[in-house]
Amino acid sequence: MTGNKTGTKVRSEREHMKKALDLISVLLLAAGAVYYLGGSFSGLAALSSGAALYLFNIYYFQGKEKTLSAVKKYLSRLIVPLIGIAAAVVSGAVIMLLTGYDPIESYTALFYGGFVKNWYVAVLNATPLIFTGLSIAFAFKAGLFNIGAEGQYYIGAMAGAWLGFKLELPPLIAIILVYAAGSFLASLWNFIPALLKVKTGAHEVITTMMFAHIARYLSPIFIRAFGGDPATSTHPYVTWELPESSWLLSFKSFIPDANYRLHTGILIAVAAAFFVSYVLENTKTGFEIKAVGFNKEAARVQGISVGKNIFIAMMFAGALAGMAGITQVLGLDHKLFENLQAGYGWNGISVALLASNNPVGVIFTSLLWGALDAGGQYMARTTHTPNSIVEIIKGIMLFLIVAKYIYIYAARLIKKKKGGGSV
Amino acid sequence: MKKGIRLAVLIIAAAMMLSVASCKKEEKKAEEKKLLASMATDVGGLGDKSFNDGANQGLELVKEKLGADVKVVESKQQTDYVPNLIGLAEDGSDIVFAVGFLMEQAVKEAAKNNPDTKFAGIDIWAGDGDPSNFMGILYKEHESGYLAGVVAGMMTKEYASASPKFNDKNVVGVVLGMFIPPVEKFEVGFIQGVKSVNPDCKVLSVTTGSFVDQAKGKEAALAMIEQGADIVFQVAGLTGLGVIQACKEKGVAAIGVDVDQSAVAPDTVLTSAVKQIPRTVYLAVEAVKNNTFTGGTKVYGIEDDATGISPFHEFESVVPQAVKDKVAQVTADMKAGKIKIETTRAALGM
Repeated sequence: MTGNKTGTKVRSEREHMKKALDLISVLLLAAGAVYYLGGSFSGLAALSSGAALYLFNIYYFQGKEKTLSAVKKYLSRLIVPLIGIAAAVVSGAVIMLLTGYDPIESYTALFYGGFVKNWYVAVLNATPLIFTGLSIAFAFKAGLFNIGAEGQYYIGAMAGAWLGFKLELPPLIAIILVYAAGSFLASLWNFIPALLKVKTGAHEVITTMMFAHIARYLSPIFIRAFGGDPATSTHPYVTWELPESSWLLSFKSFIPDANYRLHTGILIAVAAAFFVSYVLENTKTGFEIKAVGFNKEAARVQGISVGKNIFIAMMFAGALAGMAGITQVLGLDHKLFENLQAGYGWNGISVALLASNNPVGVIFTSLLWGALDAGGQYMARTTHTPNSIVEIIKGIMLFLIVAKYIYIYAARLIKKKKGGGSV
Repeated sequence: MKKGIRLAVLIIAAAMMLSVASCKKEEKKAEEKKLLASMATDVGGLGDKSFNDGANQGLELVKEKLGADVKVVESKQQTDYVPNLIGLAEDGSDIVFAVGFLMEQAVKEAAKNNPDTKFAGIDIWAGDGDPSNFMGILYKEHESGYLAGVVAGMMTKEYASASPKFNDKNVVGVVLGMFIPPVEKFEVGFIQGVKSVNPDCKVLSVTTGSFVDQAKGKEAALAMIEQGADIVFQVAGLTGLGVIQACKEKGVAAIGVDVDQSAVAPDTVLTSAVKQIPRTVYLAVEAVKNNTFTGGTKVYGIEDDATGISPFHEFESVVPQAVKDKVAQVTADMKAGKIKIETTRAALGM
């Protein structure tokens, strides 16, 4: 009797200890991520020790087998993208050699500029991309192609600026309200495309793209109304500056040597990615959306409402893309520019595809894209290798990922044919 | 064996001498550090045949005449502006140019954060609250626009028979990029120039909203030509190259902007409403070299030979002497301050 009791006691103590250690490792990972994204490389140490502790935990409490399988699980997810990246880098080097640029010098500048020197620029570039990437990835899960994320971005940006001007509230409340109302308005921008899709079957690629153009060209009208009056302003292409109460917190306020432009929007973006991942993996809605995306007919037979889920997916995708605009306005610019030439909506498609529509993967692909852009500018400035080489490398990376879809498609076709033959 | 040792000693001695020599060279280099002048383009990039290229030409001039090092970086998107300008300052530039009105916010931010580097902005205004290491360079675009308007106004009606490119509809057009002050000044000056010699002339005007969309420029120009315009003035950066393309295809005349754009389409570009960006860039770098750089706004106009129109090139024989005389007279009157040109649409009652 007593032996049994102590046994459970020991077991529960072990449980407690495991939970405590897990918590510590998660905290380490979170703190490391915050510091690293804030431009402080000490965050990397915290990140790696957090990961080590996580693995050690598995090893200590569950044994060697489990550890190995955990490592294998993560590595196997990384292997395809890593091969793609490596192949793109090699092809880039070949192109540089053929066109008379020094690949070693150029790549040194590219990676040093993107991941070390101007890492903060990479993070700034990545922030809106994560949101638009999530928007597109989420819609993809429902079998939808939200190609108009660019438009929802502009709606979010306009809504963010408008509410920022109009709401005179204490900082935190103002920001929460701007995010809530702004993303709601951006999701409404997808209301008509969603309605048309469900009721008439009009393809969302066409409708959302048209709506993107409307939104983009609404922005000058908006700007004229909020400070960009050519008769009175020296800069009619940009609104007034937002009141400071609606600015996002900058990293500089708690990491003294962070770049003054770097804002905490990236943390919201990362949180959003984990939220989307949770919705998709652990909720009924997420399950239904995936079922609709996987096979509409099968979902219908199972009693899942296809129309309702398409509707939800489109609206949620709109809200996510809108948050990209809100974050850019509240965090980085503190005003709305007429034309950013940044194509966050279009680039969001790339990062979503590159991450195979995995929400957490979008964080990493966005950071990669951001770092390539930041490093590309640094490379062009210091080595005279033209920036376009970065676009070529990006294109090759994407191609290799799309090629993966081609393999899958081909495999499916072959299977189908074989299946058809046997009937 | 001995020979080997001697050889080794010799090699070592030679290496040491070489290294000493190279050390000396490096010291010398460090002593007379070359002036570094750099620029960041706006999203239009190099090859816009407009102000980005103009500023680049200015840096070429600086390299040639002042023996300075130059560095150019092209911005791909608006969010690149600040990192590029700050990066150029960190690379040790003595002066950094921001090209184009759209970089106003970025260059002022960069100047504030890098007080030891001089910054200059083409088409950017410097006000009281702006840092003292920032110089805004502006031009009297309305003067160039006015002169181009005089030529267009006379050619489209009075001398329309001079070339089959012109028709009898008495219509000319202006295609604008984004509606910002320098663009507005070109347009408003052009309209006044046209009306001064040809009050009945109809001047069409379209704002495309972009400086980088050639297709849109082409579309806008085609629509104008459809309405009878036989001379189209483009004030649209890269978008304007599409305008010239459309004019070439439809066999009408175009007027270029910022720099002499005759080379784009010699048989189409009648003249260009220029501003001498290269010269003003050169003057700013020279000021840095001579330690006479001051912040604030510098406005260049026809009295500095910084505004005006370019030669007619292939149209030299088409444009009659009367037009050339008129241009010369108007130029002289402008220099003498006899002509008042409005600079905003509001002042024209538009």
